[in-house]
Amino acid sequence: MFIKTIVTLALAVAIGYAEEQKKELLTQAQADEIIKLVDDRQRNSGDYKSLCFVKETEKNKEPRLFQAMVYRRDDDDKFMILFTKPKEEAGKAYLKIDKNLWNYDPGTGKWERRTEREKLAGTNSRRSDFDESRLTEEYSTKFEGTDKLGDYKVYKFKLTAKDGVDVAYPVLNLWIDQAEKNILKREELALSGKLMRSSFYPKWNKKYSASKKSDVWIPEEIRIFDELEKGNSTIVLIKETDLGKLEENMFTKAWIESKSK
Amino acid sequence: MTHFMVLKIAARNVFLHRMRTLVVGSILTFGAFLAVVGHSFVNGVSGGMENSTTQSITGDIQIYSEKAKDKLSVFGNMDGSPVDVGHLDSFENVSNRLMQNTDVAAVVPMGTSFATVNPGNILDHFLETLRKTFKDPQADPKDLESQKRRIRFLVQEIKKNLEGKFEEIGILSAADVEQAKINLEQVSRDTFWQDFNSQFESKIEFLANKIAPLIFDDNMIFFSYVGTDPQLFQQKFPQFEIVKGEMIPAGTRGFLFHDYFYENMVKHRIARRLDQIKKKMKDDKLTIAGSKELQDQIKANVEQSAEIYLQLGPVETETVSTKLMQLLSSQEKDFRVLIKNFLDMNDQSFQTRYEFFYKEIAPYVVLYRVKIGDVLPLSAFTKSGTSTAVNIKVYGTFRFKSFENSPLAGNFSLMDLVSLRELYGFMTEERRAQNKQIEDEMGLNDIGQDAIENLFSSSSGARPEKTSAAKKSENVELSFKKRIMGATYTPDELNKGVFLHAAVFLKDPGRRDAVIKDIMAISKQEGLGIQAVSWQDAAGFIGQMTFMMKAILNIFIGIALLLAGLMIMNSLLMAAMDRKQEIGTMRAIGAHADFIYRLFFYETLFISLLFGGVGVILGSLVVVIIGAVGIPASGDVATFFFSGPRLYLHLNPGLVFTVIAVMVVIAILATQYPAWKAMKISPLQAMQKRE
Repeated sequence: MFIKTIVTLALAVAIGYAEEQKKELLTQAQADEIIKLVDDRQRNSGDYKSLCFVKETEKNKEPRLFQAMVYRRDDDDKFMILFTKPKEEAGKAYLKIDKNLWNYDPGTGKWERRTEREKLAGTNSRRSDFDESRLTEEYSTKFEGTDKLGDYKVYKFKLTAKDGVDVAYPVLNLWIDQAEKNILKREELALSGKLMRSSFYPKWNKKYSASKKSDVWIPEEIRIFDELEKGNSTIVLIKETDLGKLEENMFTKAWIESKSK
Repeated sequence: MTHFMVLKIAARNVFLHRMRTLVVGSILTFGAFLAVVGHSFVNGVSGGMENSTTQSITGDIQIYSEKAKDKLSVFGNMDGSPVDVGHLDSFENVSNRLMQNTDVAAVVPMGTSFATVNPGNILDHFLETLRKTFKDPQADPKDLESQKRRIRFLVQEIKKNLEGKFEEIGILSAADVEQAKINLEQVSRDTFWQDFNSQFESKIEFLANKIAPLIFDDNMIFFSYVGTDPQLFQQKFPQFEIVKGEMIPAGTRGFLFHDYFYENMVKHRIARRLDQIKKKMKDDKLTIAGSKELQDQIKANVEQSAEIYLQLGPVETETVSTKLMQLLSSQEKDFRVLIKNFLDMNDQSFQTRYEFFYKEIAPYVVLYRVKIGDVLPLSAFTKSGTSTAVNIKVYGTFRFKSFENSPLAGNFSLMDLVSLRELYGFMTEERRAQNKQIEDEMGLNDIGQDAIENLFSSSSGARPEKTSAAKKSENVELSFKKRIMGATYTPDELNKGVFLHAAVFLKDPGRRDAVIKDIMAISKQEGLGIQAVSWQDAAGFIGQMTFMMKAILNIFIGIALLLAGLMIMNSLLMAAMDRKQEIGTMRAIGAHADFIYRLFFYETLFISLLFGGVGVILGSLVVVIIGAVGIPASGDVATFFFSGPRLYLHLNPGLVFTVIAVMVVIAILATQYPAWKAMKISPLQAMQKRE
């Protein structure tokens, strides 16, 4: 199972939502406010479910495609990915409860614990990647000016991790649509300033959430480029999103197991 | 004048200048001694490393893709990361072509990489067993109750263990600590356990998610493996033998741990330390009282005594406790103190307690974190950070005869090539077809990063106008068929598929360099796309190490001999000056320049051979003695270099002759200048001086 896939899916559902703003230049307070909005709106108190497609392309290898259902219950900090296609992956799942990340394989019927203490050799991914966006809590924001991305006018922000906060990427560059406050581009950098990953969000969806009683913005398409290993890329497509209430007992091992016979 | 006469004069000179001879001689003796012992030692080490490398993984030659991004290094990079050597398409094609070369005895396909297994901590282990038992309609209610008691007991032990030590768990925040205390309190109460059976799923999940993370263990097993044709591998590496379990059946997917790795990394920590102590006491005649290393191991066992008492249930604790009290003649009631006292062994108590451990304690603990017959979810990571996993059955353990204890030969565990391909991310035809189908459903095109801005046109959809209806997502079928384990493969699947590199065995390993050239030439002519390297190159930094050792040793010997040569030259030069009159007189009574040269040469030759000879004899003696006794390898590093527990040196007659020949060369070189100077002394000069 691709760790990156999960990270990508987690990011896909964790990217923030924005609101109208007309001014082109921002004060520090305004900049902080925008990033805070991105966070606040992401803390969707209700349930979330979506059908996702992932295409992983590794340099010099054939691409691998997956289809998966992603479920989230923000109230209880629960998160789940259930792979549906291809056949080899169908039924495999990741379940996150509190700080426990479980990996299930129907082939063995075994649950494997993956924790943040565990070093995922050769990967940048940590369990924190699965958390919802806590940009305001974890990063200091700096407004870097305006720019254009395709036809869109954007604000550029540089986010630097606050002292003592353990984050996967200490520096982020964000390109946020001036009009709608959607993230259109996100760069993740290492402490050394080396660019690790660039992500693009060309399509957004607006959905009404009954639990939130307002609109929720959800990225529909995400394109991620590995900057360390040029030629590696990932496309995520979130085809269907459902903000309705999910079954009570869904985020359990028993529920996931019951899907494979 | 005869040669004999010259020799006599030379010998007289040598004895006449005893002090000088002694100084020069001792340097020569030292050089010769170092050359013999040092070379025997380095040859022993490099021979051991060569054997344990070529006979366990590399063969004589390794081939891999000529388009490889990195150089092949089967042991990975120095920093432990794997190398990217790309892959070759069809093993059959390459193998058939190489086998046409009459020097080639066999070609074994391979792929080496790293993988991990995470068996979870002890509470995870017990909870999973309990869940399985609850779901088994045939389960014995008594067994169920006993398992519950064990878990409850374990939870109490965790609580006791953590009391006042929460701050040691650095990862937990203050709030987490408070919550953990509440959770521990909750599961300690009877009320938690009263309705356990009716709500086992949620109770087990609570324990697994809230309590199990409080046990801080490092259970992850990280290892190197080679994916190959197991049957061919067994046949071509003749020292291969199964130790535990059985060989992977032909045509079946499977995994074998290297026994060295299994015993040293997978086994229960305390058991493995006891084994090591026993071995050191027996093989190296070490005593606990006299060895810091053994004392440290005993200390580590005492410190990690929780590895025993956390694994024993209440009934077992009772049983073992009674027996321990008898064994230790102790009245101690606290089992944890008893276990600590038991593990604090000395030379007198070790053997009895070792036997007691295996007889009375081992049956109740998880002796191996992965058992033979288990199906492992094995994960592997690629350089770009992606990970894949396969399920694979552990059939047993294997080793290579005669270097059972070599960490180098024990580096690789083994799996079938078909599983390796899956782990490595190669496609099967079926998967390819499914990929195509998912891609069609997805309906998105790849866009390079350079053209990505085209996606951000005003009509692209980054600003949807309307709120979409909160409709239900399409119903995706969420009922999956479990994949059957122990899948088989056909010989064609194995042979026609991709491989990363291959070991080539030669009929005569001495022809290695010639065959490498041949393979390179054939590949170029016929477009096979392969490159060939020696085992030494393929072993990467390990291979370079023997080269480095030899180079450093030769530099040392070179310096000693150069010094000796210069001193000889200097003293001869002084002798020539001292003996001007003598030489002049000789010339006057008819001695040829040639005679003078020989006089000097014999003098040097005499010193070189005499003292060099002493050095060679002394060195040879030492090598012969070590050859019989062996140098014990103390510590892992020495075991690694010695490719086993002891290093036995062998005296190479060729080496003795080489050292003697080098002595002669030094004599010749050191004589040239002083002799030339002496030859230039004319009888006239000698006379003039006298006047």
